[in-house]
Amino acid sequence: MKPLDETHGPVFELTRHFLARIFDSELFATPGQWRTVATGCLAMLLAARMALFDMQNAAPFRRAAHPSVEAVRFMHFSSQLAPLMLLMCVCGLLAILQWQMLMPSRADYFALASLPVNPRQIFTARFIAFCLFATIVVLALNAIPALLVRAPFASGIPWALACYFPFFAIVALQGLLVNTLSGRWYARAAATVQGVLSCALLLGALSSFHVSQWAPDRQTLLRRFAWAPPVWFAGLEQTFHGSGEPVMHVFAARAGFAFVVSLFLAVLVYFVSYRRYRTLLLETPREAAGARRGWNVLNLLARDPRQAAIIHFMANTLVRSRTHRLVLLAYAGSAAGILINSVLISQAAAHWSASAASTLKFMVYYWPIVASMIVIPGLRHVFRLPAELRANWLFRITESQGRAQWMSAVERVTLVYAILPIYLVTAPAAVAVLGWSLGARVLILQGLASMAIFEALFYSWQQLPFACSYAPGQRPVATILGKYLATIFMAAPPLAVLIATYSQIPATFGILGVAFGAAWLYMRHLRRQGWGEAKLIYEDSPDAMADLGLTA
Amino acid sequence: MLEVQSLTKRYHGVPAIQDVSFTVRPGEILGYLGPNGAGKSTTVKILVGLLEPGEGRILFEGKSIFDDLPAFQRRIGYVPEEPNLYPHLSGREYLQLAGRLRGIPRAILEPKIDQFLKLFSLWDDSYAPVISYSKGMRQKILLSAALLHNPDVLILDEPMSGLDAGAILMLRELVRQLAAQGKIILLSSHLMEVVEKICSRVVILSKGRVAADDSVERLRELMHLPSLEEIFAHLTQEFSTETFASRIIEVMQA
Repeated sequence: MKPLDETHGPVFELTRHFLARIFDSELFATPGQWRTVATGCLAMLLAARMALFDMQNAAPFRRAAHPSVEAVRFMHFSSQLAPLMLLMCVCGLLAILQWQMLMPSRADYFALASLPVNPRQIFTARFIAFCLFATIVVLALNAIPALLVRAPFASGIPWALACYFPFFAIVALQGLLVNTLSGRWYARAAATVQGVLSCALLLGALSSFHVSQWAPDRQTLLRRFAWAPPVWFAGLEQTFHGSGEPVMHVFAARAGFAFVVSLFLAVLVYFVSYRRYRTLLLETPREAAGARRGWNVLNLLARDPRQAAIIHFMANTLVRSRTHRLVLLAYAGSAAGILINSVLISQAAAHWSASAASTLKFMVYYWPIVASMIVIPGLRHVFRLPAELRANWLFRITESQGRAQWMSAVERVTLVYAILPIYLVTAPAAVAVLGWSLGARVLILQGLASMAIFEALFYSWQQLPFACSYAPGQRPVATILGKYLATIFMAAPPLAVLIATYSQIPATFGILGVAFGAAWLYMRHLRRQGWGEAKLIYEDSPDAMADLGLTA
Repeated sequence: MLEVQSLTKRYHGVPAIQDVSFTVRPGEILGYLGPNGAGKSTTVKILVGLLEPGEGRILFEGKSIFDDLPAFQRRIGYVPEEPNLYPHLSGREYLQLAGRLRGIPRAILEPKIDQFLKLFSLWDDSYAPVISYSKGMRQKILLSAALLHNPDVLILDEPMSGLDAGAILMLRELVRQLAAQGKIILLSSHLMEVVEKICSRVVILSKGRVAADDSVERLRELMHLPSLEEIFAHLTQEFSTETFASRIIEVMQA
């Protein structure tokens, strides 16, 4: 018998249990499916890391024909900084995705209550499982690249420490919240912190591509970002490679200090908070789920009770389900990152001399289209994630009484939660920058384009949001991301230019408006054909689902 | 009248129920009994439209329910075996969801929900999320959701699960009075004492087949056994209870 198959002590067995269930979630409908997904993710991390490795080594030599020593040194620094920043953001996002797993859950305490294990053992096992998970990720990201360079330790150690840092820092932050806030405030603060951090990390990940383009004459930017942890760890990497620059030594010292403090705090909070955390989980009274009876803005969206049922259910799930909120925030973070990045790229294209007015015009023309291309597929993806799947029997036995109304409710919620906010934010800017007449024309064309995007994405939609099982990994994540990025970067700019050009003259606006309107109405007609006739899908399988292939 | 005729359902070729037939008349409470895995929940799920039958027919008022399933579903109230509710909704919100899905207008629905919450002693917790409810409270929410639309057919799968003794007594009386009003009631339960007291007839399933279908009194007479519990044990158990207990103790002490 293999040693791992033997029965060991409680901490070992608990660690084994927690590690095997690290991806346990309703998102993986079939037992054991998480293994396939985890292997796929690991393979993707490895492949992405190797691609980054190529970039980080080739970049300095591509960009300048005869650079000075100083310039080469700086280019080498920025070319290391970019992938380092990206990896740190990826690790941070993985830690946030595992937020609930970082400490024991309510279910852990109940399930283990009758067994002879104490809270300290549960906490220790959780911490070990978390450390093992972090180590697997760090090794996947750094082991092979480190072996491919001349000085494996000098390259590998700083990168590994940089990747561990976000994991420990996020645990430390969670522990800090646990120990300083009351039970009710902890739940609220944790959700907000997760949202803000995921937005910031996504923004950081997207900005990392920009960092690699830093030119040698913009060293001032380096000073400006001396507060950023990726810069510290890039300095540590330079120091390990023998850089004698004092600034790099300062960064290296900060990196070392940050790592040690985060590790110390992570360990400390784990072992200090284990009693308080159990009390927090098991004894904090649950907050009221919803608003007291009275007028609700959602009542405006539906008069039919069946529509109202679905609209309220969707709104409540979006607001209260942690997973759904987090995924939605991730999409919002991606949208913010891509939008801000687009402005940086447009300014860089104008050699950083673009006026505020031209930047605002760019934003008004470009942002609503790109935001629609990210937020609508994002909401569609969130709708596909199940919430308490076992409770969907209620919908299954009442579906036949209101299928068409349900689909109509899905349509309304998407319009109100995805498309309307985009235009509520950008419409005043469009009017202020372009004036009433041109602003209105631009907004109408953009609105029609957003509606057409919605129609294309929901053409084959045949399920009730949050009520269908979800089988991830049906297509490679790289393919999905590739399609997303290709759509955003190849379709959005021409569409924005088309709208900007045709909206200048009322006659051309009319032509494009009619074309967009006709396309939208035709797609809407196609989507609504057979509404309420075909049965909804409650089991997601590659055969059952047919979509346009844009979402996971 | 609800008639189940030669119902068969197989999962991957393995029969869960085979050739199951029974009838429930208006005003009748049918006790639907069987050991774990006998096929009770499969039958119930087919009746409410959650599963499709492999073979056989289900007739309601003389017509197959599958000819117009939505019409039949409008007339049934269902309490599932497990209290699976949406944990992020409050009890009130869950009842609103159930009522709205059945198309009950707000003006009728809201007062009904208030009354149900008060009668089932859930008023003080009506805004608390379902996740904080005890099993009994969840069961009361499910019962309320099943009764909101005044159904003609009630399909109750372990409705007493998690309820306290007082609530069980009240539910027993409620089921009796609903039957007296002419409702068709199918009650699946492991509480033999309750079934014995309120059911006019019982169907006992064993390994997916009907092992008995008659009134409790007649079964007692036919089998010369004093209680439903003993009739049930006789029809469904492979070992005697004594053999079972001694075997368990043997394994424990191994």
